[in-house]
Amino acid sequence: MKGLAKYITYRALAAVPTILGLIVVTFVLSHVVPGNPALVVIGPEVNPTELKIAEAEMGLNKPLYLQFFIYLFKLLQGNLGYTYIWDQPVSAEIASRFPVSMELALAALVIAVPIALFLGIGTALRVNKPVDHATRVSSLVAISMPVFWVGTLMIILFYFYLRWLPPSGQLNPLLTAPPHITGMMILDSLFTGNLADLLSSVRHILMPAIALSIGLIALLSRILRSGMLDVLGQDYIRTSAAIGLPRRVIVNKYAFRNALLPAITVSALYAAGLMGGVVLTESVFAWPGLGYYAYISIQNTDYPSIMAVVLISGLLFVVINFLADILYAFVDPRVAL
Amino acid sequence: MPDKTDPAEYVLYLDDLSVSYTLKGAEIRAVTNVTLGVREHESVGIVGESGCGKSTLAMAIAHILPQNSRITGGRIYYKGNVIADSGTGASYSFRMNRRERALEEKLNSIRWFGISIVFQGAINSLNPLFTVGEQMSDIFYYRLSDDREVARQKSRKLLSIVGLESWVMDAFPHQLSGGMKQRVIIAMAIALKPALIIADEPTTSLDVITQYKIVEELEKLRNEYNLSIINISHDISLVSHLSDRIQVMYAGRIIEALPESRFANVQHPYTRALIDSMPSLTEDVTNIESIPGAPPSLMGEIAGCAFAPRCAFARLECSSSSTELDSIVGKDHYVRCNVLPFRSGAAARKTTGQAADATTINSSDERKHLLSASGIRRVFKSKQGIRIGLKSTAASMDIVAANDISLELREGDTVGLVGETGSGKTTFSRIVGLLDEPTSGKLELMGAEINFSDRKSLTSFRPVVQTIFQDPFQSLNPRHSVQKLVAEPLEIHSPEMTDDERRHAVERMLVTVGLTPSSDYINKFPHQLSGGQRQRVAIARNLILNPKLVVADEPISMLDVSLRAGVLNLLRKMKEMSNMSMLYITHDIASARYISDRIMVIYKGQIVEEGTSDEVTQTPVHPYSVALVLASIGMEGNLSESLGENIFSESPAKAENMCKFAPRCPLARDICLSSMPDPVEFSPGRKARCHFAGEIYSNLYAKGYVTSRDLTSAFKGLAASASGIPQPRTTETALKPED
Repeated sequence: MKGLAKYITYRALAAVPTILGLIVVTFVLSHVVPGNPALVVIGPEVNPTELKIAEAEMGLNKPLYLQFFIYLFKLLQGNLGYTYIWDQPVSAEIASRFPVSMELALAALVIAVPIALFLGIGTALRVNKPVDHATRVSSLVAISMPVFWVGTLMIILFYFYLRWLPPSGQLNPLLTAPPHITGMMILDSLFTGNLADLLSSVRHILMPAIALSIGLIALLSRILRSGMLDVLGQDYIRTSAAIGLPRRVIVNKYAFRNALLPAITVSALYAAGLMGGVVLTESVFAWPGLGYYAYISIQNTDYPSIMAVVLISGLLFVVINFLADILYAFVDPRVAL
Repeated sequence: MPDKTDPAEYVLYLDDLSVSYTLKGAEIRAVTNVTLGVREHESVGIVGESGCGKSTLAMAIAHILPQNSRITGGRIYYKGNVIADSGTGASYSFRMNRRERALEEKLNSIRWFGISIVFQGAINSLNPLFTVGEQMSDIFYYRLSDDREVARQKSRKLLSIVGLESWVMDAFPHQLSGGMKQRVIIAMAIALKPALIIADEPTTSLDVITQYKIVEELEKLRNEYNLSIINISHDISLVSHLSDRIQVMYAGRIIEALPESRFANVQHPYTRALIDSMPSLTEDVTNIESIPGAPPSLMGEIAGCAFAPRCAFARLECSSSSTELDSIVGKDHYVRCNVLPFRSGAAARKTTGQAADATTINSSDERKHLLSASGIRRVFKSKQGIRIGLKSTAASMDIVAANDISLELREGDTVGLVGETGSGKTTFSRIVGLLDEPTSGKLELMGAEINFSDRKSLTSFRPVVQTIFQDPFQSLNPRHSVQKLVAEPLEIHSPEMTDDERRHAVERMLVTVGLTPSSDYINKFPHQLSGGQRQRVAIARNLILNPKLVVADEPISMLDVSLRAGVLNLLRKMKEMSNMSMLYITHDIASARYISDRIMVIYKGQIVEEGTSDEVTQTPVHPYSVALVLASIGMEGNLSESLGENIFSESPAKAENMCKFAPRCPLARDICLSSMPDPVEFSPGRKARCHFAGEIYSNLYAKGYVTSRDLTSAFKGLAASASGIPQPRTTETALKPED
């Protein structure tokens, strides 16, 4: 275990320069793109003097490197700036929206992982059978469908025609939201025993979560399938077969763990693309999370918010990959020397 | 047909077995009409090259063939009961239908209780993600329903039977050496006391000496547990050492069944050619014969004899009329050949009986010095440290891969550098090939010292020194045609040539390396060529620059046995034609003897012995060279008997200033543990890095021992009497982890 602790420390330290780089890039990008933040704050029809005053108030007249250090200093204090669009500190906005997005992402995972495992292992064991071919074709279709299109289709089908599911939002507006405990509606209503809220929030999350999970299911099941096929041909699996170990042990214990390795890596990388998916999904379903926030902020050139969202999604990427590395080390003893 | 008797007399009986694969709609006949019986306590060897069907046979017996396989004819009997036929097949399905489930229930008492299988263990036979202990105890847990603790105890006991300590239980496979892993695999195979073990390439990719450990282990277990063993290998000497009788496979058929484990009386032209194509240590062989062509494709029916297209004795009817295994040559000796060219007399091996002309070396001392390396040392910094047992050493550790190596090469000289995995031979070859920079030491080429930091001057030396790599599957860019591959060095180093000139040069070169007519090959891509042809392209690519020195790093070890001689002969021919020099790197001392004028034996980064090829192979002095020679000639008896158990030890030398070989040496004395021996010149032109080189030499060879055949007893006597050598030390050397 000492080796593992060392490995984790090493990985965590290695993430520090990445995060610093991320902060620099975020800052530079937002100051390089055209558009004047001061203009956004005080509105387009102002005289130059007022603009100068606003710029001075926002520190925009200082040299860039100084602005960066001010930004960094504030960042370390948890101060992400102030959003004039929503009229409150960005950090407050993020704090309330982060769990909402998290809830959606977790719901997508809860749907995607079991289905992907089932499909991946199932098709590997039925290689070149009709089921396998059908799954391959449908994954291909699923991976190529953009999330906003799937989302719209789902709304048309399940809301417009079938009236099964609500098209947008987190909760029936007629209900009162449960008190803020985790910020995740399903969990909060569960904790407070509010059945009406629970039912409504589950019904609301279904469509966006499914829309978000489709790509992950397709990708993960393909990776698992090829990983499984590769492993099942190895000498050690053939030996296990000759030993006469029960098939469930060979497949679920010996082969599965090996097939999991590439799946971990790919899933972590997929997280990079997930933020884009979240922005689209949340916009389509008016899900009041970070993605929706990013969408509105970009529309309104709300710089502090955009920077914050980019920073947070970058951070998330680093953290998820860090977790994936650790998980990998747990699964594969060869990694943590 | 041989062995046509009651299947019940045999532990395992294959009755006219044929197995096919379906691949993309085509049928591949991997095994054709194989009849074979294995009696109780009998060890049967199956020899063949890759693709001859021997592994298919093994998997069919173990009932673990892939899903796309079919038994197209014949039966497999286990103790008189049919366990597989064309109805049941022998494939393994991870998802069983009802029929397969019923069959599997029948097989349940045979899997591992009756038949177990040992795959080539050094690479992939153990699951990398689980500890050895877990993988072993799962056998008892799931097959005997033992509880976990009992299963672990039984596993620990199994490990001790194969000579492994109990810390191995908690080790992951990557923490074990190849030999240790192979022993774990063998321990697993005997877990449920089977009647038969199938050993599929049980020692391949292990070092020569470690191979002997495994062989001895298998022999011991066979006697202890009354096992029957099927040994499958491409390695003739290994199979003959392990088996009571031998079957030779070619293109899915058994083409010769020998009643004994010797190859003295082989009759089939293929078997004979295979033996003649191998360099020998015990006989003076100046020429080995290569087998032309490559094994046939197994797609579709082969009319007539499968070997006919490559056979020197083939008649017209050989390629049309089919052949049967017949016993016309002697009792229990069956051959599938209608010609039987060797039948009349003991057509002995084509040897000239002349020793290699070692004299030429001494007489040509005026030849120019081409390369002189002195004191070459290469240290790798290891961040992670290396593992010894379960304990990893300090965070940073230097690995000395090459330690004070010196080498003089004159024009036209070939030096063989012989060593096992991790000996540093490749490290040194990369430095001589100008691909890596030594940590210290001096390298002179044609009188000029190489400055490794000056890239420009380094580039100017590149055409002079060329390297042939081990794996022709990886050393050639798969997207380039042969023309492009061979012309590329010219494009870089002779940019003034026109395309036409280059093309002509490539064509000439292809003819020289035996790829004729060149028009057949010039537009092909590597994947369309056999391994031997690929290696020829790699050689052409090297030689087109007319190098003065060729570094050949294990150029034949990835090739099929029947193709090796061709490449070896080609290298020899090139050497003679162009007066180039060669550094031949190998783990196979016999092939080094065949191709080299001088041999240097390397052990843990140090040259431990050097001399002319015949001297080193016929009168080896350093105990390590002795072990290498003994292991390579496939001697009778056990290596551990003549050289002591320690020879298999994997314990590293603990101190800087001790002999690196001392932990394994049968003659090691106290002085060996306290001081590192310098190279001793114990006879003119011969050096060995051993405190007792002189004594060993005079004791072993002064009394007239001339061949390595007598070495075993001589060395044994020497170790026992220790005449002229101080008394044995008493330090234990076993490898133990410190917790």
